[in-house]
Amino acid sequence: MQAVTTVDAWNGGGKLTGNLQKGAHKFLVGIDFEHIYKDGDKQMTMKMIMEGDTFISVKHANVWLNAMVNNTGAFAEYRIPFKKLDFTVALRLDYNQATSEDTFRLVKNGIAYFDDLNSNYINVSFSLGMKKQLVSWLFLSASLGKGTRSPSILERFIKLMPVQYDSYDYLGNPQLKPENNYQADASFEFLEPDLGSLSVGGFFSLVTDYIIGKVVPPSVIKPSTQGSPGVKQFSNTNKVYLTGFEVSYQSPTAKKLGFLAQVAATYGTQPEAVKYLVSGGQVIGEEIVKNDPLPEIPPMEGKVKVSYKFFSGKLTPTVSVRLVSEQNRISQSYGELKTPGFITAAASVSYAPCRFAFIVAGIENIFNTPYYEHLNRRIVGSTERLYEPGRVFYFTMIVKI
Amino acid sequence: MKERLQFFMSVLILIFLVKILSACKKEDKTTTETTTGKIIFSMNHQVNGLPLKENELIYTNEAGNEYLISEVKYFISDVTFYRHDGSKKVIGDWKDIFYVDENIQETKTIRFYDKIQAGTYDSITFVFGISEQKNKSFMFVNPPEVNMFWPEVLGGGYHYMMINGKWKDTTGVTQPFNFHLGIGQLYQGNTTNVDSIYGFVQNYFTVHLPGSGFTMKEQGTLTFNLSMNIEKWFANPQVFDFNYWGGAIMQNQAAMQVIKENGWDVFTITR
Repeated sequence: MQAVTTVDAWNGGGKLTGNLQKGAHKFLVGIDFEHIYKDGDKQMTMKMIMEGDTFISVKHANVWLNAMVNNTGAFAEYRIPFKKLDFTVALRLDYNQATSEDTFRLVKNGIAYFDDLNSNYINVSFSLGMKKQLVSWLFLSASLGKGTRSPSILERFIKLMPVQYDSYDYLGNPQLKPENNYQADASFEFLEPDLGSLSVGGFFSLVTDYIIGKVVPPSVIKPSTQGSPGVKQFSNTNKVYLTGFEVSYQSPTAKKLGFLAQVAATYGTQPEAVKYLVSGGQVIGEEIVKNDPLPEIPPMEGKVKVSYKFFSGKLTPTVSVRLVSEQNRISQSYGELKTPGFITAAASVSYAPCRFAFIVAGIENIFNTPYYEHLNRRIVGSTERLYEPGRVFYFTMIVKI
Repeated sequence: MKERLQFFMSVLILIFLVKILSACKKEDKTTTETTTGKIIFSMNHQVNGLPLKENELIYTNEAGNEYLISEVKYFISDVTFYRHDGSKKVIGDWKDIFYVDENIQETKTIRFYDKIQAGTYDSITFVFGISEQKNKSFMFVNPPEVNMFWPEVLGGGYHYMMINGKWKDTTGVTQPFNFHLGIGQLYQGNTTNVDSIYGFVQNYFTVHLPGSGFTMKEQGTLTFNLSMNIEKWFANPQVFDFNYWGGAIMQNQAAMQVIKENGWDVFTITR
């Protein structure tokens, strides 16, 4: 069997902003607009030789049919100095419209999986942030906010294509609701010109109507991509939690010896999720999993980079090491796989002979380590992961005219 | 001005915290269904009451053809359990079409996802093959089901059954046969040229299983042995003679009609 999909996609938009400043008060306003259009067709061909005769069967199916999303936004930000604090208040309004001329409908056992194709949402997002200089070398920042994200054109209208990291065919959901993210974060920044800067931050967020792929029974719809184990449909789940931290240190940029160290991690949890029970290759039941890790969350990652500036910075060799831990917090309900950790190293030399030219040569993955990222796609038709490239040599020259 | 600003910010923070706390409240746990049970079909293939031995020329059918079987694969669908109170349960909460292949062990045990209400059931039926409403081309894209494809020009969808093997013809030469069942075609004249097709015939049929009544207990699991008695495809009510019909019948509706009519008692069920 063969399948070929052709898609026409169009994405355009614009943004207009204005600034106003009076003393320490800063005011920013703006509007933006985005238009996304997709139309595509999948042609499937089956060639069979039976009893001496050759039979060719062809099927056409659209993966999009004149699907459109328009988003019009207006935003404003106000920075206010208030009692030795810098406050920032931001507000954003979005009007999101989606439509499609799809003729496909999927309503089964009273459940409308893919039916009413029009949806319009007015989304309100806001944030409130503050920054305070506690002492001359220490800053505290904190913010609260609510962000609302309308479902994308893919999440609304895609039809049976493996568009996520797993091998499942995905079905859009025209009646998805927007995701709401309620987030609080705080960070400390230590700034000392002779010692460098150290930043420590963390966040917590609650996301309601979180959009995630959920398996649809094969009695309702079957995949149309060879190698795909089934169909997942984008759906709103009740709520999920995300929390994480980031620590980074940067040595003073004025010094010849440069040092950068970063470490960051995010943890996500679904309080309740459905896990399908499989026996002998068959789904035989389901169970509720409590506090299931959210799928598709990258593992903890750190990076260390050392450089040295020769000839007033004209020649700079750099060595960096990337350390990624294994990802064992995997979603049972999503059927996610564990990913082993890895360490890779890279080296480069940059040279700026004059202000018009800049040359960089280097090696990525010096030790030719075999590895793959947690978010790498699986090879369709298997549970095998796609590996990242091995040792790579590169050379870049930039000439400024 | 400063007081108003403080008030405005306090209200915003309060709204935010209330939203988080309200979302964090505990919800009722899902109750476990305890008044249902599970059913498993263990599929097996027999000839004359004994387990099928593949690739051995040891069988003789009603027409006197000596034959061997090398492959047995087919679909059953819409398995239905009829309750004593007149209601019925059609399997399909997860899967409604099941592929069975003598050479693929995991296809020979069908564990139904559906929960079966406890109580007394009078009988079990299923569709042999796939109904017209569900049998659509390209609905299976992965092996082994995809290998059952039935060409679009011959009616589309998928084979209901493939039994492949060999028989010894009247001259004593062993010939291959493809004992296949699927959508039949009606041809104008005496040709089987696809350009002369003027209609299609749905050859799927419903199998009623005598003695299939049972009682499902709460949280019980029942395993049924569902046997295909292959010799019965060739007899009762009509004798199927390979020397008459030949080894290729996909474009021979008359031959497929014989298979369809003979299929009524091919399956037996025991516990």
